[in-house]
Amino acid sequence: MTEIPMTSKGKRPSFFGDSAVDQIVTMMLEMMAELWVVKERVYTLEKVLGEAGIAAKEKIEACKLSEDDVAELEVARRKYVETIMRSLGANFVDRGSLQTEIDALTDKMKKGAD
Amino acid sequence: MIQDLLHSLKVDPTRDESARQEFVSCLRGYILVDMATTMNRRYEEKVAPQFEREHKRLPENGPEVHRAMKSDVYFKFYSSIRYNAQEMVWRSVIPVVERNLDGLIEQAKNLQDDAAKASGSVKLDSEVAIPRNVSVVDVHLAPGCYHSEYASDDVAAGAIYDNGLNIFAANMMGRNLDDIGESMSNYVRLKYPDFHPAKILDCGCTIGHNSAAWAKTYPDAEVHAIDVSAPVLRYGNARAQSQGVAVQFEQMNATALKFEDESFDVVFTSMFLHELPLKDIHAFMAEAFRVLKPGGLLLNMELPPNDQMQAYDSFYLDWDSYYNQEPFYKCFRDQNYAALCTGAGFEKDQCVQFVMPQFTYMDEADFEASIGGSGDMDDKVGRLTAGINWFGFGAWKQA
Repeated sequence: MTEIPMTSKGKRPSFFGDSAVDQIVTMMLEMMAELWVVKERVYTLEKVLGEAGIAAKEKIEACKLSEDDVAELEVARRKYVETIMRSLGANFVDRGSLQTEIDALTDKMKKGAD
Repeated sequence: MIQDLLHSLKVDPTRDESARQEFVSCLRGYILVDMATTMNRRYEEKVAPQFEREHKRLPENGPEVHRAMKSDVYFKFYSSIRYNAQEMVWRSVIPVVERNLDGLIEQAKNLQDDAAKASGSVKLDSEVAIPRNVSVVDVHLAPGCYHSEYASDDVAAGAIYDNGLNIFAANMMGRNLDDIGESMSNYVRLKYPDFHPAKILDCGCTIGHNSAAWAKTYPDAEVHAIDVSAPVLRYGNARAQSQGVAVQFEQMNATALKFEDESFDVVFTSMFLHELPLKDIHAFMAEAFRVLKPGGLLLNMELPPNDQMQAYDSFYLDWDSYYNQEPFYKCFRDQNYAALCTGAGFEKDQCVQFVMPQFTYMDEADFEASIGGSGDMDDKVGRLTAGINWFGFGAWKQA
């Protein structure tokens, strides 16, 4: 499958002076997004099961996970952590390299030079 | 709820992807309405009085407000969350487009040749260079900007733009994301009932969502739409075809139009000039003057100029220039718009400026009644919030 990049060029700004705070905001928002996705899914799941006559809440409490289930959850959990932690991912180091080129170009163009 | 796109190129997210998109859209609505309102209050009640105590006067312009606001904790949260939400718009649509890309490309090819749908076309020119203000800057923090291609006959950039805009707009830019084109074209139709344009040109059209609105408003007119990016043009052509609207798309740079002198009745742009370096704005305006017939109209839907705004509103609108990878935005808003027109050859007394409500959100009679309004600026002009008013400026080419 074709891969489309998910990260834009340039340095992420720091609004709080200490960029750690900015990264924590990113984590918090990604966490909020992921949590909402789960809440909506759980809501839907319980509705679907209820319509099928299954008392989901009781059965969830009694459920035992298989080894395959555990492995699948481990992969999903890893992706979950990577998403929430993206502000501290590899781009943390690499991202600013193109900003110099953007700044040089825009300074020049704002002045109306060729 | 995020509205479904009204054409056959719409891609279906999974339930989880859909929930994420809904979250991002909801978050943006919260930022742009609730947080923006609170931030304005913070300015009025805390930041401005403090500035006044220190300087014995209030901030006089956008940059002064910006400098004063930078140390305010609410501005920091507003900006940080808004910046993140912008990234999350694109992150919530890219995986969906990526997964559906092969099908989208196929569908676009079929629609392109489907004369039964509409008699539109798309003409690409690989000789058209991507200008550096597009190739170097990921405008709107969109990965790959408008032009990147990932496959042959690619339409990904168009699909990402369409789906991203649908979330970005938070249901405030029209059911078909074309409220700008609908409002501007219908304003012209209602204000100038004796004006019957036969040829209309939309420059920097991206996916042609607003070009198609002109074709609907003036069904007898021939509508052309140009952009430098091939993937958005392929997608725009398919989008218009799918909706049964004929638009002639062509890959072209608005600063070097390939059309003959005096060949169009209307030259239109929307949200285009503010992404251009000043040199290119001047070049485009001169080209618009050249290709307009005498009696023709240049109309740019744009952000309102700083010289007509209150200091706080000016600061608020310029946020994108500082933090949304739109580095030429403020430079454009600092210009005198009428001077941009006269500098290109238009007569001063032929310059126009319009402020209008959203056509697709109201009855035509109410919209028409607003046309006689003062056209004055307020804090709703050009600002994506509840009750937006769009701004347009341009000039008639003397007959």
